[in-house]
Amino acid sequence: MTMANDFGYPTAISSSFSALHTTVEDRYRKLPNSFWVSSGQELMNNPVPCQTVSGGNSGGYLFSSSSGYCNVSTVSPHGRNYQTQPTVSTVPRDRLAMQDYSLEAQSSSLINHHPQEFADPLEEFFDFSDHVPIPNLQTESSGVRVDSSVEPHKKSEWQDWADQLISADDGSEPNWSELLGEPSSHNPNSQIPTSFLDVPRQEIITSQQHLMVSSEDQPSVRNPSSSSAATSKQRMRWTPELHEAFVEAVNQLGGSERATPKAVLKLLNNPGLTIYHVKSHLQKYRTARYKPETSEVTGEPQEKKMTSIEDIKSLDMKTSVEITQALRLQMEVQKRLHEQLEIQRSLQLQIEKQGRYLQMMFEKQQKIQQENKGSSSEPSTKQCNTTSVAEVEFGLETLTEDLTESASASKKRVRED
Amino acid sequence: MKFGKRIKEQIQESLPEWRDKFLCYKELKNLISSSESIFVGLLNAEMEKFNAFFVEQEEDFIIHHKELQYRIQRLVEKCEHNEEMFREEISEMRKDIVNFHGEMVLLVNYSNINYTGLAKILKKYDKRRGSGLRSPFMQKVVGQPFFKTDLVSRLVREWETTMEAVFPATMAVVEAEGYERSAVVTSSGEGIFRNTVAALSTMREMRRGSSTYSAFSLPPLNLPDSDLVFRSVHLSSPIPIP
Repeated sequence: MTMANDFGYPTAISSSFSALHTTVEDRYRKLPNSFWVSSGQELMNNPVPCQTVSGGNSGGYLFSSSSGYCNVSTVSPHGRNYQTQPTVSTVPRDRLAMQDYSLEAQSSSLINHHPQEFADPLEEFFDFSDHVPIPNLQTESSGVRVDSSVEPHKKSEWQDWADQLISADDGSEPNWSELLGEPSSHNPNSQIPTSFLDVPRQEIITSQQHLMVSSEDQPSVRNPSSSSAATSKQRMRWTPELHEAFVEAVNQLGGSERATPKAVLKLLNNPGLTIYHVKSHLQKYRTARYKPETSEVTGEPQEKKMTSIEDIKSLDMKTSVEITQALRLQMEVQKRLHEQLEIQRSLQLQIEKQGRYLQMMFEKQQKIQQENKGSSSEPSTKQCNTTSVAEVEFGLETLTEDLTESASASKKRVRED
Repeated sequence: MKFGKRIKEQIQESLPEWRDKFLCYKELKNLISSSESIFVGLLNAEMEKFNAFFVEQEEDFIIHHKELQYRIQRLVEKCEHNEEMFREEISEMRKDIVNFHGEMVLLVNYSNINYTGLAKILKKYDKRRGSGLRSPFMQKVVGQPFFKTDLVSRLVREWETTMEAVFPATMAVVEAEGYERSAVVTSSGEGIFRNTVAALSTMREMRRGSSTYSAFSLPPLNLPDSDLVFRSVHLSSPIPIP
């Protein structure tokens, strides 16, 4: 029995446990450099496109971010003149979809060639607590559970909950007997976190299309009088791929301290990128590198971290396990929130879309009635009006029911994942 | 006023640097009676604010994401055969990863709250003024950068996968009173954790059912095991690790 397909990562690991003898370094030397760091070479030659968002992109209003909303009186057209950008919103999804496909293909080929990717060192990962003995490799195939010390009823609760949130059939313990049986087994559907892989060309091409779409939008939307302000304030939307290219460029130039924005900009050779973007990104990058221990936004000072490391060392193993449990809980709650957010978001989108559709139908009908008003008799017109309103309301009610159904359906789907 | 209260609570529970980046719901409410251009002007200003903040956070996340990956890689290389050192280092990393994951989720939450707020305030406006501002405006919102959370969500899911692979779900050592003690949260993660739980509970409350339930309303939230989650968390008395 194979590991759940949804966990390509552990499957990749499990398939490589057979090669327990080889050292880490050997393995790493075997891997092409590009495996860990996206090959900048390829990206250098093809300008990596980026999503660019202009400050004045939405609704065509004259607005400069520093002055609040006081020059509103000269602004936006009354009523319903807002420009919609259907193309921009749909293309990124396509891009990501393509990205997923191409990267999956990429990952499977990489696994085929280098089955021992994440082997030895990650074996350690599975053995972080004293309470968890290294499973006997000869154990049976039913998915080893090393939790014999747990009281039964608690175990089942956790298991239920864990099973809901974690999709593996038998937890995330590697299937030991299977490893021994099929040393070179690999899962063609496994998904390694995409950032570890080379950025395939397909994705770049799709991204370029996206870039062209967005730059076409901009000139038509940008307000002439604020163009200079908009150019410098033009918002840049970074992607992991673009960032990888950036890192590659910086490394080529001798590191984050030595690289200059101008040189990086030149190396990246990206039409949508300005020196301001590069400059600010470089600054962020430098900060991130030299304060690696601090959390993103909360900017926790280093001293605090050091103290906690020492504290952890002096605490007994039991408490460190508690810490792990606390982290585990935190992670689960976060996962849950994210899951719900995604569901809520798709529901909201559906509502808006279908609401608009019904509105359109309603207006269409009204139009027809307007046209018929002259010819048809009074009572029947009134009747038509009432009917159409009722129809729309009925439509919207049905919509809500549908959404409730689809909400529970999608939740089921998510849980099953 | 219910949403107004909810969003205020959310803001209070949120990370300090984020607090002034949320929707100014109350302000907008007060502007409903004034001219349309002023109201719309503030709406647009708010969206600008969201976009700027969101895109900047996203950029930070991308950088941090890469750095974490490198860190893992270096760690793995460094602690080849040194299990002891590895175990210590990795426990620190675990915390960072969980917190990073948490922050990203909170950004998605941020996007969602603001979207919801905009939808609600526009609904109010249309109701009060008998106008049709909401629909086209929401259509515009959907195209805004702050609403397009795909990338952040993708990173979130990637780290979930990594966590599962790298830090397995060994529930082996959960003891009988394990739940209560699980309320021990690391001090750095406390803010994030509180915020996350608050976000979940707010979401649940908001979708419980309103007086103005309509075809545009979301169905009630279905959170299985929510009792389990909330029971095991004692927000009022967390025991932080010093």
